[in-house]
Amino acid sequence: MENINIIRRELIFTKESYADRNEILNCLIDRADELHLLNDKATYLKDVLNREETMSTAVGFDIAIPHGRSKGVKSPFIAYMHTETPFVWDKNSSNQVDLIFLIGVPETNENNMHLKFLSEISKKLMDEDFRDALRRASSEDEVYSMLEDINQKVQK
Amino acid sequence: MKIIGITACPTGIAHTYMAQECLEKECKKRGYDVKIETQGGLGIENELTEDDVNSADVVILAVSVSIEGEERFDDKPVVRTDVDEAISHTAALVDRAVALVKGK
Repeated sequence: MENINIIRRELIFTKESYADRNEILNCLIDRADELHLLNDKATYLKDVLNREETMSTAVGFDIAIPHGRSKGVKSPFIAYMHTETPFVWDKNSSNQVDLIFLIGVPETNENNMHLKFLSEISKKLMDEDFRDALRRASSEDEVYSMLEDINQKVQK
Repeated sequence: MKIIGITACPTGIAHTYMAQECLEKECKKRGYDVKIETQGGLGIENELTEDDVNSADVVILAVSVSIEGEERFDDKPVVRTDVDEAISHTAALVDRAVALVKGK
């Protein structure tokens, strides 16, 4: 079974001082691009922003899960950022966020494993203990282990 | 009380499954029977069978896109809302569904 590297340490950011949605999206997308995960940055960003316009991904619980299924994505990935202070994600809702998960999925699905992982992560984010544990993590490595644990369970 | 439902969001990656999780947890907390079908990126999962539909009291459709097999619920009380509602206001949504049953 091919193990797709959907989480990478380089896509995990803790204790960041960003407080603006678009800045954060650009930061994470730039990093994904550096890692050669994207076909086209601009296309992916457009798809992510379109999704936000359709329905804000700040669903409450101080988290946001911007995402896009896009031609601009070459390899599926998940990027994580924890900001030092919560801030308002967008003008359409007053929901504050301090945990951001950016998800990128290629338009054509060849492997369901990564979708399975993403659905598992999404479900775990509904668990308060999991969210608290993420926030308490003191390093990128710690966050990486937590996410990788879930990935391993899904692969079985 | 038995609640069944479907969750479906535009991209089918995250909200679909989060909504399922939220609804299942809330119903279980109240001691209700619950089964939520998802129509997302993984296709149709946890599909509602004829038995499920027959034995259900009410249907929650937390969907932000058109879904398959809606005719299954033609004879049931249905609460229809955005998939977001199921995530951000789960308890209120379940209250609405239960009220529909009691109001019969």
